Amino acid sequence: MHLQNFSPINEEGQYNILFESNPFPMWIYDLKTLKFLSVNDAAVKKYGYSKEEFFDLTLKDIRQEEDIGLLLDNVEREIAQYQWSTGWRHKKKDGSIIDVEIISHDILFNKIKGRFVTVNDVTEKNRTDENFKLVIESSPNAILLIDQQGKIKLVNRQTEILFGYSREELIEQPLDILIPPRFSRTHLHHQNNFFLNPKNRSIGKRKELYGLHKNGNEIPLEIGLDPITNEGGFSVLATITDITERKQAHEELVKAENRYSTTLDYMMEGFQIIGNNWRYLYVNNAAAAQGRKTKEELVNHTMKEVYPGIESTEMFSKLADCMKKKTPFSMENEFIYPNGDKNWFLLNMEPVPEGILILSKDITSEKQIELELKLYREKLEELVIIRTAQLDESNKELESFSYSVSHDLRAPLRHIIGFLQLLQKNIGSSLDDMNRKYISNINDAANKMGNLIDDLLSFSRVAHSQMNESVVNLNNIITESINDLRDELKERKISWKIDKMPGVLGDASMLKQVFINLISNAVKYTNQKDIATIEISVETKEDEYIFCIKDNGAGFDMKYADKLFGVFQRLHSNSEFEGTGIGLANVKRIITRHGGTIWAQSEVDNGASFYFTLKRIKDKNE
Amino acid sequence: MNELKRILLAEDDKNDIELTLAALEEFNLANEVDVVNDGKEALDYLHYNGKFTNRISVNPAVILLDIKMPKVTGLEVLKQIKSDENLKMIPCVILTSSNQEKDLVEGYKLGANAYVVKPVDFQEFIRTIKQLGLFWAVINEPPPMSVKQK
Repeated sequence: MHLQNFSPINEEGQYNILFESNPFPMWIYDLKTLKFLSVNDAAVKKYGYSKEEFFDLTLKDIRQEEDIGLLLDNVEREIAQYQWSTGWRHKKKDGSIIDVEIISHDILFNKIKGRFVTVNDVTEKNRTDENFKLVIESSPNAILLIDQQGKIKLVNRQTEILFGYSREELIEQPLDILIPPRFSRTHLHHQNNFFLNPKNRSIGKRKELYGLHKNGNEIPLEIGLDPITNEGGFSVLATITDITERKQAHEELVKAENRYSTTLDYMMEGFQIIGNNWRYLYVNNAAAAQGRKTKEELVNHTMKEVYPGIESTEMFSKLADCMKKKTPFSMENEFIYPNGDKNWFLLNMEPVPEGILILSKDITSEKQIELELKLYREKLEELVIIRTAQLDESNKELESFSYSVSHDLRAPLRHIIGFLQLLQKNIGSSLDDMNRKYISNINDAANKMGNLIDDLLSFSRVAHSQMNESVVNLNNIITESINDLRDELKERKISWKIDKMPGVLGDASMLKQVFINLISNAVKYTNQKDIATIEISVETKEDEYIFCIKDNGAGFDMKYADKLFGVFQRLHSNSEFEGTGIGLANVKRIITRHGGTIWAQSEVDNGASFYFTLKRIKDKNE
Repeated sequence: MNELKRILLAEDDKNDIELTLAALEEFNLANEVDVVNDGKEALDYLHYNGKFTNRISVNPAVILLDIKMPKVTGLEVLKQIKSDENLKMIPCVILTSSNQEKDLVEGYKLGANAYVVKPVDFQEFIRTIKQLGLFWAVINEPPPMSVKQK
């Protein structure tokens, strides 16, 4: 240390006031002992010690233990000029710590080498700075401060992350290192422009902007620029947003939109969106084709412009309804083109926030088929009516035929028999045996013809009369049938075996005719037996019952089984068994009309079994 | 018998008339039978028209009506009788060869009092006719206007 570097100060001199009344704490301390030699009021006020207390302290006493080494180093260094230093921490009497900046200057005080110190408490300022720094640091955007020369003066943590450089690698470097070479010329131009006309602006929003990562990759960016005026003139604060994700999302969106619109364009169905102002917002290829327009002719035009007069169609009012009430609607619409062509479309209208979405399907060919089917059906119905009429006609003819038969054929027979009997009554007693036999033969023949006519009529009735369907109790039917046959059962020994019968759906009187016929057959063909057995049984199947009427009578040769159910077909002579051959034909007709089948099994002299089926009434819980 | 009961037989078939009369003869009823040969004649008889203008003024005790007759059928005659205030109380028996259900139903609907199918067997026929004659002409108490004291 050289004494000549210390400027003298007179304690009583002009500086005294400056010292004592200065708002900044000031003191002078002994460089050797570090003892306070003089302190001003502001120091007393700031640190909480009285002047007397100060004089008992050394500089070390207002420092924290860990800072003392640094202090001693500093004391060693000679300070000829005023020196501004920052980053110090002082301890007050109450133990609290303040951040300070100090200006120090070595002086001779009362011939003692000392140092004059002015203290500025920057605790508050530091705290503010710290907060500001925190804000900058924690910003999700990269923030850079660039000076007029284009040098980077400040970066935050996000800048390091974004560009891959450490803070140290960036500070004082030209901004160019963060700009891809292909943009550097344009960037220079822009940078110059900015400094010529500094104002807030953002770039990258409208055009693509890229930064250069340390690894050479380009990063899509958006940048906000703010001019900042500070002591060094002005610099620019750049706020940088990495829009990689946003860009990717956007690209995905564009891709998805393309994908959807391609998909929609490939659809067979028309797809269109009509805006609330009745303008076409979107049409796919099919919709345009269905409307026989190009997409350009449709999109952004109103429906009325494209298809004048459409507003008076039913379809339009449905669309208006859908738009107004926000309710979906579906309809088949015949669309008439300006040239008069017509096509059918199935329209599904769906309200959407923009307006209405219309899905349209060309159903012209379906409609055509439907129409043809309808025509065909009508034709068919017509044909059925004609055929029915023809059938009715022939039925009527048949009816009037059998009516005539019943009247006109029976009357002469009655007359033959009537007059024959009158003849017999008048002259019978005078006739010889042979002539009496002749009269008897004529009588028998006429009676037989009467029976044949009756049978023929009954067959015709069975075939043509109306069926009155109801649930028929077959147990009752069988009892009644046997009861009706009581004349034939006189003097017969018959062992009956009759199952309990189910109820069936059918015409009671017809079914009774079936049982009477089959039972009387069984009775008739067992008349040679001492004891006849007749069994009536039923077997229940899935959908039907199989009924069986079995006897132990004469039976028949199965060779002729096919003739069994024919009209006037007989397998036995009248002398063996009487009959006209109409009974089984009637039975077969009735069973067939009930949707059943009938067959028989037999052996000569070994009885016969007649089987027939009837539909089963299903239980409700089956 | 001191009452005059008439039986009207409306029948177009000569054989049937003859046989019917023969049957009634067995019960000595033949003389009381007036025969008409078709429906129109039957109506004329009942309304004292045409050749019946001067016939004795009494309604028959029973009318035996054949269904199938020329001009006016038996059912039509029946219909007119049953809708005529003066005639509707006369018992009418449908006497026919037909056992067709349609005719039967129609006959009863129009108000026939009986429906008899002429049996092919003559004995039976005679029995039937006799019974009819006996019942309607003798046993049954006819409505007023059908009887005239001799």
